[in-house]
Amino acid sequence: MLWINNINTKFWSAAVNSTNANIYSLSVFRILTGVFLLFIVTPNYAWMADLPKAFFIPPVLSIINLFADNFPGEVILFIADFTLIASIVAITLGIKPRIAVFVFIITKVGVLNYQYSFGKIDHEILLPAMLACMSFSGWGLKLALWPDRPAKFDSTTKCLSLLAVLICFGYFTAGFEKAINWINFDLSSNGSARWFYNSLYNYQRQPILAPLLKTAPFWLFKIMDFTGVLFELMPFAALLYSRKAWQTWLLMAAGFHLINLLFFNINFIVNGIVYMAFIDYSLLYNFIKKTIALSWMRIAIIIAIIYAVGVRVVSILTFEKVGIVLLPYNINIQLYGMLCLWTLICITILIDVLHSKKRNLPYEIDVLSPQLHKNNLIDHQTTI
Amino acid sequence: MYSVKFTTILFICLLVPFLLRLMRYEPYPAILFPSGPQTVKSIQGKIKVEIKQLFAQNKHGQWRLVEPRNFMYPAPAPYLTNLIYKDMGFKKAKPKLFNGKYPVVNYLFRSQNDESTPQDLTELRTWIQERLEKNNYQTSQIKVATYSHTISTINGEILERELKNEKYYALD
Repeated sequence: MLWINNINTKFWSAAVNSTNANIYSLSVFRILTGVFLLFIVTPNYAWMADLPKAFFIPPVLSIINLFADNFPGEVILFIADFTLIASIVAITLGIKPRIAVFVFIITKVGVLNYQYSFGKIDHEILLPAMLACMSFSGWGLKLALWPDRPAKFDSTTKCLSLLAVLICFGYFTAGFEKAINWINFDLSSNGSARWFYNSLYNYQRQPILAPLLKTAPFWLFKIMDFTGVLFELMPFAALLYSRKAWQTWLLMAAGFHLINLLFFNINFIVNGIVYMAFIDYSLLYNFIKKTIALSWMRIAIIIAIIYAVGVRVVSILTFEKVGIVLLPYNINIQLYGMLCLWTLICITILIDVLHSKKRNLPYEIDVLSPQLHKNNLIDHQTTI
Repeated sequence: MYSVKFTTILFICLLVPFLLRLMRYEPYPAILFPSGPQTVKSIQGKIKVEIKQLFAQNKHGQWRLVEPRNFMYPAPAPYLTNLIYKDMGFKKAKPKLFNGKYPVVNYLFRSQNDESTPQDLTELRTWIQERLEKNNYQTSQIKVATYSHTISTINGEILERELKNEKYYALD
């Protein structure tokens, strides 16, 4: 059994070395996540109350299918919508972030389960998965109005390495079936082309760069098939190889989503914030701490949050979609807004890639010394 | 550092849902990303894509393609495609798995296999009619048409649109 133990240790050591961050960085990331969820990802769910029971076909193997026979009533969905906003505000401001995260995850997974009963599972699981991992990182200990109590199971290294493994496995599930069907040298058979034309003519999406792809040679889709599969199957290798390789893969992932948005009009913006968990924000910590101590800045933050909450509440009550808060809800404006966001995410990850240094010493200690980890010394001893 | 026990449990928790999806029973929640492994075949510079679309009659009795965004509001527009593929909610009873021997299986598949009750159908018809009315269509019937589109791989334009079948749903 020793060899299994060795493999396990080597696997997690490599994952930790590729993903490590400190508690200060993650505290900044918590605020960023809150702002992202408050201003960028703004879906409501009360519209489901209006749906007839005939549409209620939940996934056979889902929690909702065990006890529900219909969509929930309007009151329950309104409560869910308001709960989501309240928990996001609590995450942003750092009001018992761990509890806020749990409330958010339970509510979000529940309402999404109902939404997927409409006939299709949209794969937005990374956001709840990231939040679940982060709730055990200690990200609610700093830059918080009402911080979490330090817990013995808080560990930045554990949570980030676990999150990275979940991302890798998620991509593996996407790439595995594609690899079986797409990887061949039959130039007349193509998977990317099916995605493109199905998106264009069946789902009637209008990607910005569709005209370019429509006139592109058919073999270009075959290249897309190969690169897509390679990209989806390689994150485990990148994670285990080095920090630089992992960060480069994250940059490719953000670029992949940008290309998807441009050519297929498929937007997975929730994944953007998940990739940003691996950026080192420690240098921003002192700046943010000083900035939020200024009274005028506090007022500005409160006004911004009240504005965003106000917009979201009106959207819940009127069923009007919001999209990115601060931008008018126009399809094209929102699309270009998302493009700018993905570009910004790519640039931020690129800067992190260029500035990343090998910083594995404390985390190797974490790997080698269970006792140190047990005492939770590693995560909190890192200085900035 | 995570123990071998934790890693093993994690591996099982990740792998089992993935295997279930390969068997067409995707669970939720699970760490699974969209796959979509289907392909199209190009023959002499043309591909064929099958498309289902919802039509309703305007006030003059002409069949018109239903605009998803306005029809589905406030639900997300892309879900109309899912509805169309699920017979607009007019589902029919399916044979029970294992001849209905196992109550647990019957219970899990109740929404998938059972026919809608008359009350559910009335509710469904009213929901569709309300949306048709809001969008200035007649409310007596709708149809789902299946087309086979022949698309040029040179310019991506639809060269031919062949009607494969039409399904009518009476709403009155």
